[in-house]
Amino acid sequence: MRTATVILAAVVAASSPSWVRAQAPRPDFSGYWELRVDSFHVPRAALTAQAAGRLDEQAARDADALARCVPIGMPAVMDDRAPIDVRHAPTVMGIVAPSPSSTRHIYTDGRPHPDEDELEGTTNGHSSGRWEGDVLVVDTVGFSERGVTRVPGGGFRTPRSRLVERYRLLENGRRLSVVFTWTDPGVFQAPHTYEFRYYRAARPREPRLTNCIPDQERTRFLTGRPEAK
Amino acid sequence: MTPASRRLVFAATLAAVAAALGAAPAGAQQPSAAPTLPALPSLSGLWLVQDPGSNNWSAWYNNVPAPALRPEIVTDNDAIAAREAAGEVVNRAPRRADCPVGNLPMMMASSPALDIVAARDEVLMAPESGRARFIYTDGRSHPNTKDPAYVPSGFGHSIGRWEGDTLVVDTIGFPPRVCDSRRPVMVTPGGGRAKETTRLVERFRLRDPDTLEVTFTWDDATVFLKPHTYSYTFKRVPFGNPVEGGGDEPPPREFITDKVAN
Amino acid sequence: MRAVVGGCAAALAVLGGLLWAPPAVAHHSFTMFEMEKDVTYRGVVTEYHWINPHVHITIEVKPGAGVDPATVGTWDIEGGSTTIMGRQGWTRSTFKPGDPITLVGHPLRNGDKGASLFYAIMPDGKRLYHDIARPKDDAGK
Repeated sequence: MRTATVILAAVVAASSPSWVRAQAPRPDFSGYWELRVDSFHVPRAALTAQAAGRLDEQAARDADALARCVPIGMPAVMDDRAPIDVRHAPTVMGIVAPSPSSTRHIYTDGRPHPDEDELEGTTNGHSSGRWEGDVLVVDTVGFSERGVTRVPGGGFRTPRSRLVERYRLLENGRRLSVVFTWTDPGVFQAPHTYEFRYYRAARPREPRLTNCIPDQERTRFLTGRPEAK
Repeated sequence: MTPASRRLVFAATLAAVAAALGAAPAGAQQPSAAPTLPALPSLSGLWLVQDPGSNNWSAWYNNVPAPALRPEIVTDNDAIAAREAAGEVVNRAPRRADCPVGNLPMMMASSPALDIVAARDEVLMAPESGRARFIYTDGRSHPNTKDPAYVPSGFGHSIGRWEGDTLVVDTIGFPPRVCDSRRPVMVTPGGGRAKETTRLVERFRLRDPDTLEVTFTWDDATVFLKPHTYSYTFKRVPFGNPVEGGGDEPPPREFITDKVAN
Repeated sequence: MRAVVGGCAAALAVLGGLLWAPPAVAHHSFTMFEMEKDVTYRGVVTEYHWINPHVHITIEVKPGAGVDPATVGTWDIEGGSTTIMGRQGWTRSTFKPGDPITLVGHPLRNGDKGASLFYAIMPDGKRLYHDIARPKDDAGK
């Protein structure tokens, strides 16, 4: 009788909506995703006075990073000139950009960020993701100062920056929406949010990785695409 | 309740549990046409190659069954060894933007852990968070690697298919030369070569959830007298986070080693 | 100035896989070291440089009980890149100046006071290796 009671309790738990939803198939974000003219929804960021005073210095550092072909890092890898390659497995999502960069890994296996004293800053930071229904919410900390630090809309990433991204598929998987929210009290007066809506590339692409971004293409990493007013 | 009745209740309860697990509850989101994550053998993760006791990395790289090499390759290996013994250990090749990215034989044997993302149509494989090699598992064929439009990387072009629980990967299209003055053609473990005429077949299989076995077979009639096969064992790094290399800080003073040629 | 024969192969090996093109072949051309010889150094850290292309530890070995007289002096111990050593458990704070240290390395062939790091022996007896290479008695660890 006790056994049946236990099993009945399990049935009740199993049929609760949140538990069963956790078992539903998750969206697969795999694909080659490209940005087009209408992909950008980027408001201007409200910067602190301190950050506003450092913009020229940061731009010079970014230009130097491009010239030395160091990994560009976030957020530039998500705004690359050619399609990005997203490969989504059940416990990790990898993102490869054709420009010189480290492979980005977003872990969805429940792992926390490393302790602060163990966290070595990287150009892409350390990313952990969790599901909210069909939306993958990604939290990233642990950025270094290397690479291209410019943030769309204004400002730049620092080791103290935190980025939250929300990934979801639109139009039955034809488009990928990523909403970025940067928080860094030394840079932004308030959390700075913008959205990219990628298009799925029409045919399979084979990314050609490059060692360096050519001279004539570096400017866009420093000034960005046209931004929404 | 009689024992028979108890068994009936137990069986009915189990059936109800099974039904609950399989059913979509009222109010749950309906499956969309968008793709969903597949179930694949769990190759994803960080994997560290295991040295069986070679004592140093140089010995480890050649700690494979000896390949049967063509005489001219043996002669070239002797020349390389002589140059290294004479101190020619710094790469003095110009660092050009068009230098092939990556070195597959080196990457698969190196100390940085292998970071694998095994997704539906493609597997990414990178040394820590470095540049990844792509293994296409969507059924595509190799391109014409003799076409001038084909630009080789040091990873070659890889296509894979699952044979049960084994990922079988076929790679061709390595570059004829790389930007390294010491070894201008990529050298494979044991002293072979990986170049435009070389084919590599790899077999990836999980021996257990934390042990990955990879078998390599190199074939190239201009290098090997017969195909060269060896295996590595990798151990999973649980919840490992990849390390990002680089860093351009110059050493604060002179150390043993020469500066890297720029 | 020390011998300039370059052993930056380790870092180049990492670079070859990580980002830059020139593949790191000689990750591992350690011809300037006596790789077949393991020497134990017991001393104190005077400098700890967590840098690329090679991590460097400068140690001072003083005469004393249990100290090999041939190891007395100030030594430059060369490790691998921060990537390679980080994977083996090293961090930028594993050692600091003033820490006692015991390590095993392969000395320079030319007799200068330099060595290639094989492993450090931590206070709990655990070995912290430079890279994936292991001696036979510690294979698989």
